[in-house]
Amino acid sequence: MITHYFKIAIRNFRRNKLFSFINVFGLGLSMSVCLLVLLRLNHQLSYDGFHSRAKELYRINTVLTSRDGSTYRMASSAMPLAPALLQSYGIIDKAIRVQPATATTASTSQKALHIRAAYTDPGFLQVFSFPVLKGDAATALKNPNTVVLSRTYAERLFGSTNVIGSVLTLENAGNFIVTAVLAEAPSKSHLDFDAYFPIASITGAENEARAKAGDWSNYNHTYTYVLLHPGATEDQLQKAAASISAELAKTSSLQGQENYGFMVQPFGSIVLGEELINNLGDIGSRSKTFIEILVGLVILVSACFNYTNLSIARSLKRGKEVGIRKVSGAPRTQVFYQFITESLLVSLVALAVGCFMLKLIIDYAPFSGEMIPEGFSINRTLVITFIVFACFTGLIAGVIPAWALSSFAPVDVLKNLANVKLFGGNRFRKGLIITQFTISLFTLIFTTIAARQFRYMSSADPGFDRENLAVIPLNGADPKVIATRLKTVTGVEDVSATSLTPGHSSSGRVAVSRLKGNQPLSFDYYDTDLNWLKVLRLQLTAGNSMPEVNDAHAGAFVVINEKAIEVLNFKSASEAVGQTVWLNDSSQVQIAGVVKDFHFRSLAVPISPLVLRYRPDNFKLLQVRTNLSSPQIETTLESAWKQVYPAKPFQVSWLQQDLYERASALSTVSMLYFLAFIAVTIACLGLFAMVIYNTETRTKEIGIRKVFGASVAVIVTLLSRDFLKLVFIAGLIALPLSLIGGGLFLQVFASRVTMDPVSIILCFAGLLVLVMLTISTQIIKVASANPVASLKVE
Amino acid sequence: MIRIKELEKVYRTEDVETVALNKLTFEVKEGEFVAVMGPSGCGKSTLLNIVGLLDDPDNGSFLFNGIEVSHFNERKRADLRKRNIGFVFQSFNLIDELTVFENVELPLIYLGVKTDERKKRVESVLDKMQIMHRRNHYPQQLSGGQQQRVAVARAVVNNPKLILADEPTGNLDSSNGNEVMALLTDLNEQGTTIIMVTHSEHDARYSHRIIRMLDGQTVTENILL
Repeated sequence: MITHYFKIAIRNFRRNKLFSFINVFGLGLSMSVCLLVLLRLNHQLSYDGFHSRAKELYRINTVLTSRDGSTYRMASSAMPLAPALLQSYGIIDKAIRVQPATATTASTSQKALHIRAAYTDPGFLQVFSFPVLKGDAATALKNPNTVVLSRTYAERLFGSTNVIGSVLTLENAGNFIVTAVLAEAPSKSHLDFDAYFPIASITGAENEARAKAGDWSNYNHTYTYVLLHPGATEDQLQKAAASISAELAKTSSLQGQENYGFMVQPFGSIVLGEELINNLGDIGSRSKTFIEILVGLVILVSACFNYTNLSIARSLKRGKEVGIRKVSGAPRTQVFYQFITESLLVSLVALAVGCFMLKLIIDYAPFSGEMIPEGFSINRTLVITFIVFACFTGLIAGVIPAWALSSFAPVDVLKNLANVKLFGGNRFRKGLIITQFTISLFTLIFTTIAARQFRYMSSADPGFDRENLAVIPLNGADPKVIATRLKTVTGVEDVSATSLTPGHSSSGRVAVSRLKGNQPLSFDYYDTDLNWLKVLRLQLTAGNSMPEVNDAHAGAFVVINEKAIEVLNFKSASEAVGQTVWLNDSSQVQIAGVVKDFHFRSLAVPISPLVLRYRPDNFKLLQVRTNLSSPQIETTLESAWKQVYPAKPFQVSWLQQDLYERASALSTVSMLYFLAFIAVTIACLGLFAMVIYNTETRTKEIGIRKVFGASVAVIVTLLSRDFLKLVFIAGLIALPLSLIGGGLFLQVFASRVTMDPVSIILCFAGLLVLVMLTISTQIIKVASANPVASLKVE
Repeated sequence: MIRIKELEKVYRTEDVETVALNKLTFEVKEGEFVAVMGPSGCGKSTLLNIVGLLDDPDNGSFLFNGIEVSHFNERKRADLRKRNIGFVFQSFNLIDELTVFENVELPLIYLGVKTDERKKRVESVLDKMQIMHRRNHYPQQLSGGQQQRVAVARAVVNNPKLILADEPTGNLDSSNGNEVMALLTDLNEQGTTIIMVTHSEHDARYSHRIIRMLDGQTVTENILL
């Protein structure tokens, strides 16, 4: 029976080439988007699938509730949490802390390389199932000053994996002996570091900058994972964490501050899990994934509409066949299966087209860099997922026509097919076309609004000068030494060191109050040197930059912005200068100056209070003000760098370009345009097919009208009118929806463009032109045909 | 074989109510060849559809081989139909996408007959109908007469007890028409019961009995044998 179904399906596919093409191409286009989503989802879900004890493994996250009621859910936790859990509760087998290192460079006597390192507890390799290529997992991290390297990093730094006993130097941390090399993990992990150092090795600057062993108030830098004893439950763990939080509430250091709690997160739900502050590694975004799936489904359903619409339109032709089959003894179910088989066949052919389109996207689409996961591979699961998805698509597309066609009573279809009506005749099909064009127009208008907003954000003045500003990561270099050298390079006007460049985000947040013990306010901060304001060409409203005194004294001064003046309740900027404020209730600093407000974060968010601090240990980047364009000066800067630090890696980027790429969201906009293109193409394909079908079934009517004097123009108007009416109805629905959607989207941005009616009208006009082009060729051809021929055929 | 008593069928639209069968009583014995005649709209086709279990009556009784089938649901009707009844239509009603062989094979597929057995039976019936040489052709490649022979082959391939023919020669010239009538006569002589709706007095003369209908009722019966 199934052979019979497929035989008929293939013949119908071949016989109706145009309709088959429209179905396959439309479904294939939409499938390419869905395959892209599936590819990303498959990649994301493959994360951390190899840990053998994942079911007993949890991460303890921190939940802070501030006095104003705001809740901050963080993936990170304080250093003392792991020992507290281990010591006090018998349910935990092992507790492992992972703390990303601040050091960014590792070196040997021959080479220095950028490194992504983490400190962790000795049991790390027993809790997580990272395969070990060389060395002993049980003892690798037992002693201080040892290190476990990833295979790729060992090869990059030492040129080999036979490196047990070799020594590497970690910036600001000392020398470490390699005790193990990890093999490639079976899949990706959110714990993705080049090297793991024993947590006991955290010393010096690292310790100062990050978490101290007994400091509960520093919960931003460490991640706590616990492995439960067999039989222990998540509930017991949650209770243990809650009792620690209750104990903490009584301790003096945290008393009266935020409400400090914990949240237990099963290890398996970290990837694609809740979006937490300080999330570690590439865990994907649940909301983004949800939106991707939703968009994919909308596009897919739109393409399925074409299949449904065409199949129902062609029901007149297939009705006779259904009648004969039923007369020959076929029950409804068998007729239903036959039509489902046909839709499955179309869907599987469309899968091939979709895969081809996906390949084009991967190779050529401007958004592929952002959308295609790095290092994805086509594995068996992915292939099976694609095939199952194609079958699912076939079912969605085919179920309505199969149900409808199989419902035909043989008496009706064999007697007078023309009288058979499905889903209220044309109304259902028209409804589908209107839906498709509504989706198309909505996507088109929304994309135009988004593109304008992103264009505006990339070109609007943020309040600081981002042109000709080179950004060079310090990679462990001494900022003063290298800045002095770079200042001598021809074309360099000035240099400043910073923890982070402005324009996207701040270095972090700090609690600021005017008096010790007062309720603090949360400020953004950068750690900057004294040249920062000058290099960024920022204007001071009052006072000066931090004074040029020695490092210890410079740290006692800060510069704040105008917004900070407002929230700290100073009457004016000049009044604030010379006043003191408390940072984290522990350091009293003097306000040296007030800088004019500027968009130090994206233009998407309002300007918030900012404090500039002088803490050279936190400098990570140099900002180099030049008067030459980028390619000319990059080599000179590199030569100057290499003269001072021949072994340290030199990297350079340009702030204007970086910010433009971020703000213009080229990937997002190009992706949106791609989706709009697909939506419009699918809608036009569907319309084209309906026009062909409609004109075919109206040949006799057209012939009669022409015989009785109708001109070509009258016939063209008659045939076009119905279709254009559908597009206008779609316009009436889509325009307000797009205005609402676009308006809501723009609300997200603090600085935003206004809604531009001209571009919205142009979108609609463009779509109308496209529709007219789609329908005109076929309609003019039919309207110009000789009526005698058409009547004879009839 | 068929015993119909006071059968009623009314077609209703929003404005019009048409009585197709009006307390029709009618009987056909096994092995009979019955022709049903009457003007357009008299209820001939409705009667054929009900007898063929393609439609159900509003009222009345319909015994098929002694079983009351008037209340059967679609599944039961389809099951009874595919085992007992073959159809021949005026417009042949062959599936354009299937070859001659596959069209004839269709009822056997739905009967669940195995491939080898199907092949044997289809080839045998195509041979009998003298269209074996056209087995791989599609319907549109055949003449009207050939198409109707294929339709008859399809109707008889599952050895039905009853063949219902709705104006089987209506779309054929007289020569092809006579050939089809000869085929039906042969089948009847081999024991198949035939009920044929026709407008043609010539064709009706091939039958044993002519039933004339008017306004949903039988008005006369002529026994020819």
